[in-house]
Amino acid sequence: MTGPLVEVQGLIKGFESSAGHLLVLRDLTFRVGAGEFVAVVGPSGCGKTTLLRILAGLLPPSGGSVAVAGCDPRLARREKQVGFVFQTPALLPWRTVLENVRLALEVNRVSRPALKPEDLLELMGLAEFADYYPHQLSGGMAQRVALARALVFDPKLLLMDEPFSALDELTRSAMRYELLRVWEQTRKTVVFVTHSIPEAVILADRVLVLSRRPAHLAGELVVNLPRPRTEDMEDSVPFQEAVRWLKLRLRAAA
Amino acid sequence: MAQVEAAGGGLKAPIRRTGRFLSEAAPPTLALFLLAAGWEALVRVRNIPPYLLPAPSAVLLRLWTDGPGLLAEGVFTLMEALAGFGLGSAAAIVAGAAMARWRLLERSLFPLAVLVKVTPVVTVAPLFIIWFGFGLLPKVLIAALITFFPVLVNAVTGLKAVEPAALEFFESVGASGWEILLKLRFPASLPYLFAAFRVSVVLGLIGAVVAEWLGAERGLGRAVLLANQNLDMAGLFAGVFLLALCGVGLTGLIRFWERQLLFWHESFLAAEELAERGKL
Repeated sequence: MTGPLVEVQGLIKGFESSAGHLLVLRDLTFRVGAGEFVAVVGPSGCGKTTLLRILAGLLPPSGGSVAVAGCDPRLARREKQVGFVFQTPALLPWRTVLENVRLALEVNRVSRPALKPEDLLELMGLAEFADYYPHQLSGGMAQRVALARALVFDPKLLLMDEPFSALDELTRSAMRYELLRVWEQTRKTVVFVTHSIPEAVILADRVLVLSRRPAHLAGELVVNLPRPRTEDMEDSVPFQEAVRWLKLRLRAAA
Repeated sequence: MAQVEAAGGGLKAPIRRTGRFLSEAAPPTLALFLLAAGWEALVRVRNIPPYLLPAPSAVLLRLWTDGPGLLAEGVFTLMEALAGFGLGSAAAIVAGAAMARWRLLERSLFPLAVLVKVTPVVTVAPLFIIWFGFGLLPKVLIAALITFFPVLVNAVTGLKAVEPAALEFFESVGASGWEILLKLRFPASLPYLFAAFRVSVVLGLIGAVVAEWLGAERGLGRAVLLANQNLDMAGLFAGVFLLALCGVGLTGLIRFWERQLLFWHESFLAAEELAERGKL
């Protein structure tokens, strides 16, 4: 592991609203190493999505400092260092799967991308669905297209905002291992926000626990499971212990 | 997987569609036929004079004898309506895009547009005749004016009806406002635009006809008015019949484009699914 890819120091974020000042993030400090898979868990509405949007350079911080790949997140975004996967696939229904993956390239007038959209679909196991329209896909397939779309610039950092929360439990479980398989091959740095503690443990190298709003770091756990992760690890003692510890931490923080 | 089967069943689809069309078209055709028969019987039995109500057979005869002349007039009216519809819709989409882009513009002008949408704008037609004379121009402009407001209101609504996450994705990849408009907002607004088109294309036809009544050299509206003045009710009904055909044609044209462009939209997918289930 080389130096940190994400460096967050004393991050503060507040919103002005008609109801007054709303403090969402309070003095948040953490680092994410290059190639590391970090999961973020926390109570509902604690500001996890706000945190991701700040890392993506879509929102400015109110205080503290944030650096992605050594520079301002907005600059990192402009340099295509950041890929984003949302809660919903948010595919354009009038474009085919392949056209959806190509969209970001079109917008930035890139004719020779680092990763070919066709190859990305191949990686996601969607090669034969390239000419399908989103309404012809299942929820899991659509979210795989969204993942391919986020990887099209070969970004260093991949931000995922509860990407599997809208899926049924079986699909959700399959998607975790699908994501792990892709991650093993690409070794992106991932910040993965989720509501599910087992999901955080099976995916991540390290899990950050946020407190309720205004959120600060309420705990941190290094997951002691070897890679590549497999489904039978979910029955192992270290897995169960990690889940139990995080549950306790989360309850204390909420 | 159901999707794969649906894609593979391409050969049967046209046949199925024809069958569906026939089964849908048969009842109204029969109803129309019965209505005409009843009307014909009424006129004959009660001996209603032709200057009050002509028999359908007389109207058909008139269509046969005067058909080519009336069709030539119909081409004029159709051109006025279509040109007005095109002009009005194009202007409405541009104005809608501007309003969706600049909030202040929307906040100041959109309420006015909603007000004018519910105003019968044909009433300004006499003014347009004074301003622009008796030629094609005032008819096109009135059809355009009448088309403009429904399309504008739906364009503004539709251009803003985008999924927040899709908008965030565009922002996250550094898309410009112009690209967001062209690649996201405009396609997303098409269902709303077509809902307006379906209404306003017929309104455009009404606008053209009313404008012709106020003074015109050609057109079906003028032909209908002349027939009325001469108590030539068969001629009047023949003209109205052709105008109805124009309306059906224009609506059909919109439906056709809608089918080509909106195959991905829920309303179409739901309709397809219902039709499939109806077959079972």
